[in-house]
Amino acid sequence: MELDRATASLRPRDPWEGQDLGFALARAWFLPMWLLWWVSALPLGVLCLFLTGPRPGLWLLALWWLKPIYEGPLLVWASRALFGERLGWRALGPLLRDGLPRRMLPHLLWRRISMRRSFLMPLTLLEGLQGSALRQRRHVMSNGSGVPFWVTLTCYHFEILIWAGILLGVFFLVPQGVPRLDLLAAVTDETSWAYWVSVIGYAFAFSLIAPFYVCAGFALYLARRTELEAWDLELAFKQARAASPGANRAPTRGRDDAARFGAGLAVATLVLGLSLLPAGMATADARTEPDQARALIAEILADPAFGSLKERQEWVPISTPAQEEEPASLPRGVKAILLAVATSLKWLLLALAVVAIALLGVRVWRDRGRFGWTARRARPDRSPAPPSLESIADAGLPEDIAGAVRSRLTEGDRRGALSLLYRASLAHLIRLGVEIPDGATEGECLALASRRLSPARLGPFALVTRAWQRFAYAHRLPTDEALEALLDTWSRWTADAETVTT
Amino acid sequence: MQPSIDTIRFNETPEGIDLGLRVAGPVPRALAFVLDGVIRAGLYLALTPLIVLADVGAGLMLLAFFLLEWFYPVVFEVWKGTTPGKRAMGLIVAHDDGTPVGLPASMIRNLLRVVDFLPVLYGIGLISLLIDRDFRRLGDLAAGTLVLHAERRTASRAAVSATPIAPPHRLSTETQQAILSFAERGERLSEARRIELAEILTHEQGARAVDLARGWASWLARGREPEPS
Repeated sequence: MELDRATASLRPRDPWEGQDLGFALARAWFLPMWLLWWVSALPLGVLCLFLTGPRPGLWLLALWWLKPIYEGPLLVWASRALFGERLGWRALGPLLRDGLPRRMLPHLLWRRISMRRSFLMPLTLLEGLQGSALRQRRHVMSNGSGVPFWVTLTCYHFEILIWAGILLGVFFLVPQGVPRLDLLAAVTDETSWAYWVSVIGYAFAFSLIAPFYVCAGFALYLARRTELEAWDLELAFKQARAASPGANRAPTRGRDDAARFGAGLAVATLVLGLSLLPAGMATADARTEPDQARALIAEILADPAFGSLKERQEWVPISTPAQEEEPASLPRGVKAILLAVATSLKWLLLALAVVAIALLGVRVWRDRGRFGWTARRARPDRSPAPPSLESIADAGLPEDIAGAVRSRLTEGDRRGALSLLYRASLAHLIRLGVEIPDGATEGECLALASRRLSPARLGPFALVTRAWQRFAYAHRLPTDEALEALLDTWSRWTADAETVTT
Repeated sequence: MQPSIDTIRFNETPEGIDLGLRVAGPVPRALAFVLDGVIRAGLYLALTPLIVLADVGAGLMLLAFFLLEWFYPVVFEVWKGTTPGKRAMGLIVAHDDGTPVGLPASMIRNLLRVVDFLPVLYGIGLISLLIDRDFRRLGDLAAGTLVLHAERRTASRAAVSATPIAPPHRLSTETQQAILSFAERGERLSEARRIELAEILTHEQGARAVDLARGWASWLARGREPEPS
């Protein structure tokens, strides 16, 4: 098994996340898997139709019972697809053979009603286990987890949901005039055509859910094996080894480009699409004269479909105003209290509604600019890009830095003073030729500068950075003497640099 | 190489950190919905005695039903970040950038349940969930929300007890994480598998490989990373 070829990310997951991965896998592989399902289910369905005769209920039950037959090839296909190998039409024969070995028989007999079918099928099918080995392995793999059970239960319900959705959709969307689907007959009357619609709808729901169900079980299996065998670590270690110096890399394997499912699929859908097109489009653009049209309109309007008068007689019971039955009567006092409560509740709700509307009005008025009624506003889609460092560092720096810092200190603006000092140092660094990328942190600036400059040319930058960091992040001020000493060295540093450059 | 299939949605924060949000699929969400339905049904049952108050009681009951039906998820999502049913399944609701869900988004996603519910019991919602990359139903798409697996509280790591050995060369962050993870999870693997993994990593054989890997892990756990040069 070459884990590095896996197309899904192998990381440790809890079981719930594991089965979610299955749904993501099935989405990625849906079309081939869905068609593969039909390849095995359609012939069997036709066969069952002959065996069960005109009993749609029985037919559906047979189709349902044989589900593992269609799911076996799906699972084998998915297991190959996981490692990047898409089996095409040409591989169909071996695929069906691999998907239905003799050891699958229990899955069609007593193990058919198991509620962990899709999770346990990989053990039989992919690992080829039987008998006591299978039993032991099943114990290790399932580890008392309830998730496979819930996945199966939920998928059964998803099928019911889709089936009911199809039935109701047909019921609601078929236009009037076309015979309507009798919903009651569709679920109860086995002899009606509506029942056949319902049964075929259910089979269609099987086909839609099957890829998701099979992949969910497979992904659960993968999650458990990743947990047991630490596949993610194996992958990481292999990568580390390949990246390590002096590693002899494993020869990369050439991928065999088998005929892909895709090509076959395109043809299949094309044929299907063609057959679905209506045979001939009705062309009705023969222009009629206004007079003719009027006559035609009158004729059509005279049609009974547009309403007509009809006389009808029917018997109606002679009704006497029936005595309203007194509802459960309450004591007079209680009733009065309840009435009062109800009335006050009503007025309270009304008052609240008025207040809410008024508040809304005020709010709308205040924010009217935001709705674009008055003027268009630029879309604030992104926060503005951070200004470049040079612009910050150079903007508005006074001539005499040390003097400006001192004057700010005497004004008590310590933050301004330290920030000015730090900015001026950065500007000076840039002048010394240190390239500082935008968004660099203080520590990164210092590291860059110390790598680039000799300690002598670096001067007091490290001290300035520390002082600024201590102040900005820890709110700790240097003492006045320390600051004064720092300013002195700083002035000497910049002055030296100027004499060097000039 | 096609991108590898996963259920993580990555969001880059302004600081350049990729936050991985683990989106939750149809099965846990359906089960959470059923649990919430059971809880709500219990609340409805508890409200039925109001009927003894005749019409007023019926009115109050209908009001309560209305509020419960429409605002039960909103209130819990805004207040706690998740409904009781979702909490039981370990799910939370969040904006698609990973921030906690707010009132407007929660309102939208829960009002649009009406659409997702069609034609019966979330038929459209289920189809949308199966099709969408991040398992979003229409309400989630409109509100810009995700249903995520909540982060588990991981137990504090046991210290790696082995004599630290410096790794021979500089390792990437992923490899370092894998080595630490090996030291932590190694006890749960079978011995043969442990040795096999360690042999892939190191150039040693047998139990010495495991000891070496554990030594590296111990060295890494103490944060003695070489200074960037």
